[in-house]
Amino acid sequence: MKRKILALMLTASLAAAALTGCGSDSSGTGSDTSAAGNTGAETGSAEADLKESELVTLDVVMMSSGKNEPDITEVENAMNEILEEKFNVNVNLTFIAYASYAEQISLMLSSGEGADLLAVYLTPLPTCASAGQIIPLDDLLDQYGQGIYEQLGDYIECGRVGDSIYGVTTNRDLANSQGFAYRKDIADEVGFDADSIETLDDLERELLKVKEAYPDMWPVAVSAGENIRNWGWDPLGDDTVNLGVLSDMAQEPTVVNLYETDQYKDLANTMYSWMQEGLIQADAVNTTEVATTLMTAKTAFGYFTNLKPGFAEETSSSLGYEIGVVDIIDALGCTNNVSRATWTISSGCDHPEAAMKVLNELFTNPDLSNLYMYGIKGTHYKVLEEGGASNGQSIITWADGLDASTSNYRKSATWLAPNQFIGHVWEGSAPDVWDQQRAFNNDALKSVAFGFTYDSSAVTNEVAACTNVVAKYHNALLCGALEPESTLEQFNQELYAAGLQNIIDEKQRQLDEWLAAYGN
Amino acid sequence: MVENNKTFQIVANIVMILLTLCCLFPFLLLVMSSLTDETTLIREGYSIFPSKFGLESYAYLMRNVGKIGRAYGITVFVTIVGTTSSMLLTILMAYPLSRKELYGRNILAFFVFFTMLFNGGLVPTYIMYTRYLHIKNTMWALIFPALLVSAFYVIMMRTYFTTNIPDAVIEAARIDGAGEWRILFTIVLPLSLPMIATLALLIGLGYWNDWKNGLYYLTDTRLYSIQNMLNQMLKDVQFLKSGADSSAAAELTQDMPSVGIKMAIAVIGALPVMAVYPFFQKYFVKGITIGAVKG
Repeated sequence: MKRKILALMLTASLAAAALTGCGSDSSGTGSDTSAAGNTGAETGSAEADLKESELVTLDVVMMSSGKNEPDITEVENAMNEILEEKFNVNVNLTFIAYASYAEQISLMLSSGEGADLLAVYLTPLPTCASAGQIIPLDDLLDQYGQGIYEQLGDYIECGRVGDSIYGVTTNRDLANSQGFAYRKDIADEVGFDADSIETLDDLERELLKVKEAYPDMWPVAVSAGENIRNWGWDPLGDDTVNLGVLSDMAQEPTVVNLYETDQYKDLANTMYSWMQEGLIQADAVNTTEVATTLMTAKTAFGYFTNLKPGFAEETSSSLGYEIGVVDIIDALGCTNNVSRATWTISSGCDHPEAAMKVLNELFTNPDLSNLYMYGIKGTHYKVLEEGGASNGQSIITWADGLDASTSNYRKSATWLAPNQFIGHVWEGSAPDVWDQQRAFNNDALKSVAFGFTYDSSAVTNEVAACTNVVAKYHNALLCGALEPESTLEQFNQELYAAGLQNIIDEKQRQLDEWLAAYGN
Repeated sequence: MVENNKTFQIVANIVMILLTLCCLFPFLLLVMSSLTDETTLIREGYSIFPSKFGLESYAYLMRNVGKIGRAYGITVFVTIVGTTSSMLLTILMAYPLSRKELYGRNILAFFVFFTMLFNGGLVPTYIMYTRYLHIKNTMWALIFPALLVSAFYVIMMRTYFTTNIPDAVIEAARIDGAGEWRILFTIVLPLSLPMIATLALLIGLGYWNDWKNGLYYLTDTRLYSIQNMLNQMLKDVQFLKSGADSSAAAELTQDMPSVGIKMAIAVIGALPVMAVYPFFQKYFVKGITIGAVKG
């Protein structure tokens, strides 16, 4: 008898657990919708006073380098002091390591747990938007986000998916120029003349000098099998596969197959001949190492990379030896660079208006922004030159006795913080680095599709098939490991067999619609 | 016949030796590359006979003994606590299911079996653990999700109990006056040592090698186990490949441990398992129940 009852109780408790699981789940979504409904009403009345009626705590999620940050609570408290007085809002900071960011963010977003205001990075913005994981921000931006508009200007348009803005980009290098970074010490020694370089041919001539002086050293190293990611085209979304692009600096609104363009063919030919001359790392296709590791070990001279103002200083300080750069392709502004990292509000957020107020404050209030990015003055950093930066902020460095590995709240991924341009400047960078980057962003040539976000959901199968084909050839071609003459033809045949034309047509159709609605 | 047998022996031995070499080679390569001089490693690649040895990688581990020792300690702790409690749960579920007297045991067994075929999927599981059980960023995150996750082990255990523990033994114990707990712990479990050892090894290995739970439920890297650290290092490289921007790349490469260090961590991660395995192995082949029922 006892056993009977036990069995029944077990069954009952299991069933109960299952039922409560479902029950609270549906009530969870219920409160979500009611919260979303509330915002409209609340925003109307809250115009004069920005304070929330009761204390709201928001989970703010960002990426960090994966080091421990034991002092988060202290920084939170300092930030809360500012935010509580102004909005009656508290923040709860979470930092997630690079390596697990994509997984954790996607879990947080699909469960609606643990993130209200968050940086979406690596996960495509349209994916989150079309899954309903993040909310449209237009109304909230109009109401509380004036400061963001001022700070970002045109770039805010890149967060548009369909008809609404879903993500607000961070202020960082929003355009990319392309070029070559190298070890300055070796360059000086062998007479590598960076000033004379304007084209790849010039670069080749100079690299041959390195090859001659150091036969054991690879003039060009490759990171994890990828030599060149972009050389002046707008990939219209998928920047590692380039299915349907605007070629030749993206000034014509015609979507073409990159792998058939002369631009690509020339590049592949050049790389092939470089490989023949021994200028590129021989095992380039298979390497799992990063170019800078090889440079540190003095087995490589340099690598191709995207550039921005301050790149050399930044990289030099992180690698510990001097880096020089050569700009070859001018800066180009494409949507995917901008929307790659955006701040969004999760649909699980119960107080979206509070989240927008905090976001706006992070964009406009240097004190708050500095706390978030660099921690507490005196504890985590010290001021070297008060007001020394061109934006009126200070030049700072590690507090006494601390460095990157010992600090308990470490400057990390500040480019993913909403607005580093209003904050301090780290020692080693030019005092006007933020103004330089702002000017760089504003002056960059913009793609005609700048602001256009492409939705690949109609051609998912074709994209998957083409991605496999691209993985087979693209990186190997640009590493110079395949002979372009015959390979390109086969490559393109396989691409069209995998349905590339459908993707191009779909992109073109969406682009035309977008140009008609938002183009100028 | 004898001739045949000899040929078979020779062929079988050659095959087994080759297979053993296939298993040994990658591990040997791992150990040797962790002992190779860093610059040589980058210059010449992996080799069983490196031209220059170096202990830098292990020196690095010694210098970072705080961080790595901590992760190591967590792995050990989680494995011990997790395996013990998981074994206990598995036994306490499997044993009643093996007893014919239990009313409704087929229904219960169905519940267990059902989870082998269907589960809630990642997101509902995540919601359950974070919103209702609140294990996020606690040590529980590494222990809890794997506790009774494998219905397969329960079924294995149950089958072992039903087929290898004769009812007569239990009956005899009862006649001698033993209660249910006593029967389980002093009669049934000692008779099931081979199975318990096998399952403990499988579950223990699962805990030792687990990095998924850390990936999903931990944002606080202080709680990372050694496997999580390794996984993070590997994923950092992938992350660079998948479109990191230049600032991220610069920051990341600054922290990135060299190849040799990755290898050294992999070595110390694999060693304890190799050390423990022989002790468990003897149970795999032992048939204890034979002759337990006399007459």
